[in-house]
Amino acid sequence: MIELRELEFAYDKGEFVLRISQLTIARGETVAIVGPSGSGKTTLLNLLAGILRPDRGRVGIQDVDLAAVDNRTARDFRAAHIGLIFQEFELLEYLCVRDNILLPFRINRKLHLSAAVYSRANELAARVGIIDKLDRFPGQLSQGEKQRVAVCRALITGPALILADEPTGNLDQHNKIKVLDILLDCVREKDTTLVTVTHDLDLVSRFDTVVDFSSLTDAAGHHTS
Amino acid sequence: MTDILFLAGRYLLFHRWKTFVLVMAITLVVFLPAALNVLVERSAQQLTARAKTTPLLIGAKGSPLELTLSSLYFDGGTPTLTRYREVANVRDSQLANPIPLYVRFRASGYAIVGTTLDYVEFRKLEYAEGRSFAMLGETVIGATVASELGLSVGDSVVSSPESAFDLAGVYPLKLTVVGIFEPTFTADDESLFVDLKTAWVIEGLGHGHQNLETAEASVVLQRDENRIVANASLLQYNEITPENAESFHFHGDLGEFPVSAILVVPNDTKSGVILQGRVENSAGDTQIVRPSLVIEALLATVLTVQQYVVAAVALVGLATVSLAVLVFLLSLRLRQRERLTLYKIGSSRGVVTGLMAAEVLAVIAASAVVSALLTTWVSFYGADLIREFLLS
Repeated sequence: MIELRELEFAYDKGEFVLRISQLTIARGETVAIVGPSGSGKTTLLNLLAGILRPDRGRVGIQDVDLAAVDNRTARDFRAAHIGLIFQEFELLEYLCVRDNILLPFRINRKLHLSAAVYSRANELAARVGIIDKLDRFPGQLSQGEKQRVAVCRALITGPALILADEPTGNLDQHNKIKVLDILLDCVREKDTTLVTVTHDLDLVSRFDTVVDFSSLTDAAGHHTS
Repeated sequence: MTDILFLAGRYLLFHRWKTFVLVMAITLVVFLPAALNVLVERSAQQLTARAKTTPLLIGAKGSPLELTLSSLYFDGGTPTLTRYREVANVRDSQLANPIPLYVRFRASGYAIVGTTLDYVEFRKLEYAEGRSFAMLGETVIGATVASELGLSVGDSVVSSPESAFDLAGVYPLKLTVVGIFEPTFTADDESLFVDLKTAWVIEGLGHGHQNLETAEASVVLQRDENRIVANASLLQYNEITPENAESFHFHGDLGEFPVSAILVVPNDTKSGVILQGRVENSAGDTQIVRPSLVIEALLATVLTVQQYVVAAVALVGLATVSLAVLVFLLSLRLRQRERLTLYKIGSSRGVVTGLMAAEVLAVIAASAVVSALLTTWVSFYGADLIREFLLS
């Protein structure tokens, strides 16, 4: 499903360099990436999403090397096959819950909004417990509800891969567990791969695999695997 | 494209008050100069058209503008009055046809124009209903007067007293509506036309009363060969009816009776010039004016004022547009994260740019539509307002 090989990435300014010699994640696997701040966890998610392009190496997802394709192809691939969840939810305040869930279909011409998509949005909303809030706006929701909307938005395209950056970072203990359970249930049900960056070590036991970036730091401050 | 418009629409609706303020601000910038332009143009057209169809005016010496506005639009105050004798002088010259105008009194806010049937013929006024005034106390009303006051032929309307507290002043006279003119979209629509003598009766220069020859003896104080003196119990008429019409009469020399202006229709251009020369060179207390020239001078002043106003509006507009641009730019900066999120979840930069542009264009389009609607409204109804303003 995901294969990173001889990956090397550095930002234009600064000494930070991310090096991963080999990382393979199987289809349907749930992976938690932990590590100190600045260790490159979010950078790795951006590389997996095709938002950042590596300096060297391969970012293989479903036999497509995102390092080798152009921006448009990477973007279309991301829209169709990858769902993104952010720590700050990043919902659009001016859209109701339903329109936020359907947003990927409104901003990418390759995705077609049909009756079936509306139906899937309702199913997802029911699944995560926000079916009665479809007409509300993000400002009228609790933090936990907002993240559930974000989960639905990530899942609406039926992606093969979900990338979640600290999805529980802004939630209280009760909501953390609830949202994570919903997310894990959803991805396991659809055999979707989940890669999550998290600081919550209490939650990592729920994942199939844990990758600890702190153990990957070399003597020069570079991260390698 | 539909999705971009959908999202832009949602954004604008969600921020409806911000959108409203922006639309109104831009609307004002676009609308004000456009409306002002339309107003001035329409008013100029109206004023000029009426003035061009009125060859010459004779009136008492004084303000030519006041004489013109009073005689053409029956508004703007009564000018210094001249004498009816001047009408005869023009007629005797055989150079032109004089049409007397006496515009001083009002009924329910509308001007009562004392004139002759020549005026109806000169302005080519058509009867929508009824007939022309034939006897004292009859009036033919303009289309607007009829619709606004709900009058039809056979109804009556009372002239307004000049002052409620002036016991010696003009008393109301009941006028019978005998005709209604077709709309002409000129000041004629907003006037009541009566015979010149009826206007004099309103003023109190003519009156009707009980026949003293047949009156009771107690009414008569003194009687001799030349005159009969009656006491205050003599019945005075404040309504002219077929039964009492003959009792109405005037005391004194009609030539000394007042008219506010004389509309002069020269036989030809040469006659007009000769007449103009005669009046201008006479040592009398009359003036002769060519209304088209008076209105042109008025419009020149208005246009100068308009230029200053447009310049001021342009400056305010520039400031408003600058503020609007600032609002848009700040909004773009505040929504940087939103743009990044859209990009991350699969949007192209083109779509994001298109979304922002659609919002700006929607605001501009809404402003343009509101401006167009307002300007259209002003073009229909505003000309009357500015004419009122010019005349007041």
